[in-house]
Amino acid sequence: MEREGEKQMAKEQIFEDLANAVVNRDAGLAKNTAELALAEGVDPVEAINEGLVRGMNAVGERFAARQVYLPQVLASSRSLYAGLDVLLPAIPTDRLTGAKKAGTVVVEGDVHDIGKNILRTLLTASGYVVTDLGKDVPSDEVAEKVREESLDVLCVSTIMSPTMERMPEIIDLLKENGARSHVTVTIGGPPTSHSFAERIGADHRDDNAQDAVDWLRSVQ
Amino acid sequence: MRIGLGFDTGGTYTDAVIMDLDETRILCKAKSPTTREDLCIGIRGALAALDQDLLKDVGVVSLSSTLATNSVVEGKGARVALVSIGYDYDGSCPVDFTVTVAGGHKLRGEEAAPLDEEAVRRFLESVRGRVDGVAIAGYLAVRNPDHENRVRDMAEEILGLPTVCGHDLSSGLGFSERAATCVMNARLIPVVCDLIESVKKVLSEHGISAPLMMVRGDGSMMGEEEARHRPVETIMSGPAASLIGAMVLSGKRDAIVMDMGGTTTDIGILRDGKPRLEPEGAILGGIRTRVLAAEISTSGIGGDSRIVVANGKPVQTALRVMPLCFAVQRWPRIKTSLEALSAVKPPSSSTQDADSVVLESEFLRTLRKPADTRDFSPTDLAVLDTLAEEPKTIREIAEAVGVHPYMLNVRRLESLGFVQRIGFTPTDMLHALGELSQFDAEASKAAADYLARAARVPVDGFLATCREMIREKLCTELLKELVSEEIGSTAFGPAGEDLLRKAIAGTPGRDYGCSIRVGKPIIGIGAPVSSYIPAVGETFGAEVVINPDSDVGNAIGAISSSISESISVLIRPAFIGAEEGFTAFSKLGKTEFTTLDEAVTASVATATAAVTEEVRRSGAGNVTVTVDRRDKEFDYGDTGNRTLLEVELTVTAAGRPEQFLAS
Repeated sequence: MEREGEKQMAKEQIFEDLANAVVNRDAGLAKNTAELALAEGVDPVEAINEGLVRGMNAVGERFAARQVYLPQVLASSRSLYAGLDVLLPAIPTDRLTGAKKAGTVVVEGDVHDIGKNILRTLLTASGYVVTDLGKDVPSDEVAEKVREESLDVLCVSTIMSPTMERMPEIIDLLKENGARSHVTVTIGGPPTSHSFAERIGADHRDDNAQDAVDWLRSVQ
Repeated sequence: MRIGLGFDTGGTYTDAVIMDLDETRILCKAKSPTTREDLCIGIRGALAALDQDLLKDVGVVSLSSTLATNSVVEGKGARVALVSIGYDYDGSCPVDFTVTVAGGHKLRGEEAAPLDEEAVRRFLESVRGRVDGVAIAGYLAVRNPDHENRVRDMAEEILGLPTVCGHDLSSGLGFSERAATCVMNARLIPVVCDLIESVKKVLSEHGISAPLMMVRGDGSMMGEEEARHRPVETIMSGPAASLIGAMVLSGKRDAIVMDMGGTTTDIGILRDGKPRLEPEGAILGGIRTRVLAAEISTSGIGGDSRIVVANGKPVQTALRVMPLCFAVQRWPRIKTSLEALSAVKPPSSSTQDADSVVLESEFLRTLRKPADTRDFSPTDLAVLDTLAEEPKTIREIAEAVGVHPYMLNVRRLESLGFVQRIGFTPTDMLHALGELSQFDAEASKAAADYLARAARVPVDGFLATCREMIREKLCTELLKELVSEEIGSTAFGPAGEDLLRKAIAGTPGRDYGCSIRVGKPIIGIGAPVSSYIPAVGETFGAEVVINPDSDVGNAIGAISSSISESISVLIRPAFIGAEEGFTAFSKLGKTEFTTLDEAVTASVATATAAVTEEVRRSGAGNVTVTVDRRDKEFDYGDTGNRTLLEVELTVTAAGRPEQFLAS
């Protein structure tokens, strides 16, 4: 009985350390604690959700409230991935089957991928299986990837107005290859707007990465 | 006086109407049962019942038909070869032979890869003599039809068969949807050509040589030649004709149309004199096409729906049965059984669901027997034998074949179409209430009395509950349809469901009530609507229009519509925000312009000439052309600068059919 209680305490401590590792941007602690979690027989999914994700959600909220800024968020996401790299492979594959598949991409001609990387992290933290298509990716490659991988969500971003053009292009190509009816498309980046999203036939314009995740949660 | 003859070959009846097209007046109407194997039997029957003197003056004939729809659903039609250019077809509509060749275009109409003409030639040679038609679909051909056109020229030269390109049928994106539409079209060509030939033969027997029009799924009509080339556009023509007929009969251009038939109630919407269309294209037999057709929502409430008493309450199920009042005319024995029910104590049905309840007021009969009896038990076969003699109740069947009534499984035989059920229906309810007297009301009354006792209520209370149940169902279906149209979802949630329930029942809850107003008139079509739709209108404070000629509404719609053709043009700037350099894409091809004004003016002129020519060829007179221009603009970030994304033009020519009087 006492041993059970001790075990529970140890588990709670591991979750706390994982969350703190993300919040405090300590990648080393995240990796070590994740390894400890597996050694102690903690369920990896629980460790991700109760530890890493809880920490990342806290960071997301602070970012949205402008209490922390981009560099801190990126450093936190590095810690998140340090933990995930250990924990994700330990999840039995059948546990992942119900998860939605999301893709993140920066359009062709644009290499600014900070926002996309934050979103990728938050999506992973929200339980999506994320395929990062990368930056500066030609539209037809994006459209084919969505179809081949049967992605449920595609998040497209650009920071510059000349490359906005690629967004309607991707959506038109998704219509032509038949994938559009199965995928939710969100767009983001400073030059985009709600009216732009509506006009090109995207489902949503994300104000920031947290907004994208919140909106996706509300519709899926 | 211009006189037109309209036909609608529906699933049950073929309707015909002769109309004075100048006065929009019905001169004569007729109905005849449809024979599905040969639609001409129904057409001939309806023609014979019309005023023969008037037929001589008919100047134009128009037909709406379920033939194309049924053929697609049943997978009938010609053998087809499909050439896919630059992309693989997903096979959603099965095709006999297919090849994917190099070629296709990019979004702005540039060639993605040169067309592999050699591969096209090899494929076409290989299918010689093995197909009846060729379908051609190119990747992004809606942005440049060049490769599709070149393959069509080759197919016509090499095979000399009917050949149709995806860009001819749709200007919408969606490679596989266009390919499926094209394959379907090629399959339908001989089917619809046969129909046209045989209809013309029947017409000539009556001395009618007027031009023949076919109704399209969007409610317009097209000439015979166009119909032979693009038969897929006739799918859903029945419901579309019903909407046009509703408009003609009511004089309302914006309305909700509820069409009650034997099996279903169809709800459609008229917007500015046109049927609301399925924006992504009609779905047929589970296959998404790019055919623009009327969007109709269908629910299982019809005159022949089954009403039973289960758990002490009347319940309507989606099953279609033969009404008792109708059946007793053919089998008088049923009436004797029904009359004897007054001495029979109904079962206590408290534990049974609507599907398995056994009632003495329901009978079964054998429609046909299976050719292959291996999949059927000896009991099944004995049931079919005994029901082939005459209709029997479940209890009588059980006695005849020597099993306990609850051990009998006739539901499988029923769902396979070997056995038909005869029972109490909304049609019986109206007979029992005295609102209809078409068939034998006594049979309906006897059954109502028995069912009322099963529900432990007086018979007038039972009938009132049945009527209320149907009103509630119709109201619910209508509201769900309107909500879905408005927000694209029918997920009401518990709060929404509660508001809906309160609004329809008209009874408030503890602290609040709810009423919902439908802002458009409701037009009722179909024989029983006058008994149901007024109550629906009252619930939602909507005007209800019911015309006594609505029983031939589809045929009226068929002859009252206009010949019309449209071309969509998409104009895009060279890049977003460009002041100069615009490209126009349409089925006529891709053209470059310097300014937007030039692009619009030239595109309108070219498209106008093309659509005018097409409707004239179909026999239209007094052609008018309308141009619908939509500028898609957006705001950059939060700057508030309106910027042009693209311009969509739809150029439509429409005209009434010219009269060609037989001399």
